[in-house]
Amino acid sequence: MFMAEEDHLARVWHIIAKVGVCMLTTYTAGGLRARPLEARPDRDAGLIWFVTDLRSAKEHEIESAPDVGLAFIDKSDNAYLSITARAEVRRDHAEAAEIWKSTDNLWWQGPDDPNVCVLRVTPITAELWDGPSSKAVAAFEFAKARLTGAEPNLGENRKVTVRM
Amino acid sequence: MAESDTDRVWELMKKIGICMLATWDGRELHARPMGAYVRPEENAIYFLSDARRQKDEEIRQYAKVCLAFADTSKQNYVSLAGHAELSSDRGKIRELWGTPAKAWWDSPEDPNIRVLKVTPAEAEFWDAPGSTVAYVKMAAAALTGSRPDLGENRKVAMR
Repeated sequence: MFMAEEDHLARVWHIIAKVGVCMLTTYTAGGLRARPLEARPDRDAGLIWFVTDLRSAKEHEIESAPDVGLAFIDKSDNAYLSITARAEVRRDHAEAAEIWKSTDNLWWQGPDDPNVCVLRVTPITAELWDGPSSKAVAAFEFAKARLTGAEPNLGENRKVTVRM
Repeated sequence: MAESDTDRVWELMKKIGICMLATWDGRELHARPMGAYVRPEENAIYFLSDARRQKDEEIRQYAKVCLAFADTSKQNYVSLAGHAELSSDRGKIRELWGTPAKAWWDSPEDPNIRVLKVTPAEAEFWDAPGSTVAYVKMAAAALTGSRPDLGENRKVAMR
């Protein structure tokens, strides 16, 4: 069952919003690392934001290797979404205030807390394994869809083997 | 004493079953869902893989991979870093062969099947995002029979 390309992109943003917490993977000198983080998507801007802490290691990892991966897993829907992205660490408390949630106050003294920083993540490519058999994968480029308003490129669509 | 953090990591991986296997191609990170055969007694996580897939090449270039297991409904998350090795070990392929594999290959004798073996180096797990993390050095406990060095490695996630 192939959806229209536009629907794939909508489905990707839907999964990001629904799953909420993703595994953010970074490259470090010692290898790859992942950690769960709550995503704050801004579909209109084509961005995914995160609130994070300057005292964690990942800011340094991202500053030296900004190519990151986001994995969203929806077990109940059997949907697996892998996003290749570029991340930027921003020590901008105004931006933090914009995406701030009340639950963040459990960790910090508000968006002006000196340990707060934000990650601005620009998704580049998404691969989606979706549905009961997850045989069809939609791989496409965010940038193309965003910049041209055109259909994302599904030409290089790969059938991906998912071992269930 | 309650189960060790290492036991908990193995248990969570078994329970969640499917992970996102992340590889590094020298420039970008790629991940794909893979069904994990979790074998603590062998100190390894196995996957059946297809030689025609891009990840095999990436693993040959850079063998350090990351397995991300997540069950958001239960708020269980595991990140495991390890060393990946590809082989065509037919005996192992036959041993792991089962219903899930039949969706992709007709028989365990298919020459495209590869075994991907991941030997854990270290792992972290979370029982909720941002909550206490246990950081576990997955030293080869299974090989030596000794407990891995857990020591003072518990730390708090800084989100």
